[in-house]
Amino acid sequence: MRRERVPLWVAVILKSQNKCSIVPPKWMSLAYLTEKHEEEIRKPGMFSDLPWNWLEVSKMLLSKASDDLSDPSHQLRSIIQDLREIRLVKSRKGLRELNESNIQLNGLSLMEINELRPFVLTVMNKLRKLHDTKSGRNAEAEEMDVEDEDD
Amino acid sequence: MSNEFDIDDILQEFDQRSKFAPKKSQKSARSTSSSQTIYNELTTAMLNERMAPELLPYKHELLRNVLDQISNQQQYLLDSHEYGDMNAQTGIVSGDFKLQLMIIETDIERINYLVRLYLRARLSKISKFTIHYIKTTVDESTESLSESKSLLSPEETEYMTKHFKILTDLYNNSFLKKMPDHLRLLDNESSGENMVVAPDVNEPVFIKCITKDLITVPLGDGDELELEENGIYVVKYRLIQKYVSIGDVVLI
Amino acid sequence: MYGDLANKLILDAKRTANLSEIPLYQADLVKDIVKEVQDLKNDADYLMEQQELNGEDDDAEQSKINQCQLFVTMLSMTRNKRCLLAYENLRANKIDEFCWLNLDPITDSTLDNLSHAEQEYYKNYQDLLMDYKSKYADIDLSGTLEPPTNIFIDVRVLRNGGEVQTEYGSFNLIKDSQFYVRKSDVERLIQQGYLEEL
Repeated sequence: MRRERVPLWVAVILKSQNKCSIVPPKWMSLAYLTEKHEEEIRKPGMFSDLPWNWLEVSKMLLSKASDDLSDPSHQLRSIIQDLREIRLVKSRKGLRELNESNIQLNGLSLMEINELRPFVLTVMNKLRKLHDTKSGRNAEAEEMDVEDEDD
Repeated sequence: MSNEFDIDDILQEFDQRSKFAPKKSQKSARSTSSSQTIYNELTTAMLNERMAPELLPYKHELLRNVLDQISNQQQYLLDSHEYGDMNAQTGIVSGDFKLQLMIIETDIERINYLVRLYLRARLSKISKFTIHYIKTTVDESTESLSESKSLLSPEETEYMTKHFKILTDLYNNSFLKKMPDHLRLLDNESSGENMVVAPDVNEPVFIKCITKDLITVPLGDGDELELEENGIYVVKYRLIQKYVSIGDVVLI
Repeated sequence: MYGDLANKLILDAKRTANLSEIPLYQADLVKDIVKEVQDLKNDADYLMEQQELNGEDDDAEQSKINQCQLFVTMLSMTRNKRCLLAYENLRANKIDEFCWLNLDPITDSTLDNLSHAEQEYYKNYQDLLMDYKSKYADIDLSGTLEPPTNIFIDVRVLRNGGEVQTEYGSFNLIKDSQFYVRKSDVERLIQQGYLEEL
């Protein structure tokens, strides 16, 4: 038995031909993911550190190489689902801060970002339009030197 | 093991796929770096292009390398199939030989897909903002930039110019030529209304900061935003435009 | 009222935007709008003449009204032009899309819906596209924009058939046997019911 590093897609092809088994990454285990889930609960204000592609990679491993994983698939699926949900709730809360200018999304993985993307872009573009009209009007108002807008 | 499978052949082929007929002994010379770098660069270029509201400078050198690589792989496949056919009767050709070819073919398909997305994303912007880019690239050509720095590839310039021509013909034949003189031009700024669509550089984009140096982006009104390494943000494209071009920030 | 016709055209364009095919060219509407622009032009010429004739004799009130009228007339013309451009631009984009789809040849009913100028454009764009694509011989530019998955698939034979030749060698269609094959090689066999993808 030898270990080699190859791109995931190559590994999946070899696996499908029974030419190799895939050594799962260390985060792809029940223990690790459960710990991350607990961390998510413990620290409601931030996201735990997970790989950039954790959802995609875990899905691929579960469907193409479930026999190479160290824990039963259904348990892995269920903890992944839990993690995903708790993080989704967090990111939704974070979106209350959405403004026309910018937002920080640190800690989210690519797939999670893509889930938010349509919503974030629509809202930010709408806010941007409102903001532009408002500042346009403000500029006019200042020029005409009317009342203050302190409120 | 009866089903002995030499993974080295595949790995080695994977590294050296651009060269014809890999020899079985070259196990040590395994540096995936070059093809892997091309692949990563292409992915970044494709994502940046797809996500940026404006057209980014064409990646002349990268695309040349990628296209070369694909054509070498294609040639390798052809030759290998021929070799396979020739030796089919003798039993030399094993299932693993075919598997190798399958992996190359999959690899080509993957790169092909990235190039396709990259070029199509560019064409779609060129089509959407034809007049805008016709105008801006006129300046470029008068400054006689070296080819490797131009915004468009020669193929794209040709596409754009011809597309503009047939579009103009279409508008003229459909109604413009029947218009009063002062409305006959396609783009008539004197009529007070700008009808040229230009990219909106204030569009929000998703970015990832990949440099160790802290980047500070002014937001106006004295506010600023600090971008940390591996940080993910949504900001106005205009604010990070220059960091995308130097590669400190990638669009996602 | 001036501008109503152009509005109709825009409504048609809006509907077109969501259709998968290109609806009939609104030849009459376009003709009427062009006519309206010409009418407006006559109006504008007349107003300008009046202004020159009356010159300074005219009272300020009347000249203001004239100027305003002239301004609105000019704006209406520009707006009509803008609407015509928007309409044709949308249709041109649709035609482009059609060319990319590689439906070869484009269905007659779609061609019938195009104006003469559009048919000309369609032909030209196809040539243009061919030119561009030919520069990238190894890239299937009009291929799917979905990521490639399963270039090779496992299939099971559902019906007995003869021998099948592919670049990867040949296999025999014997019921219930399974193969790992290139998807593009067997797409037709799957459609014909010889194979099923696993």
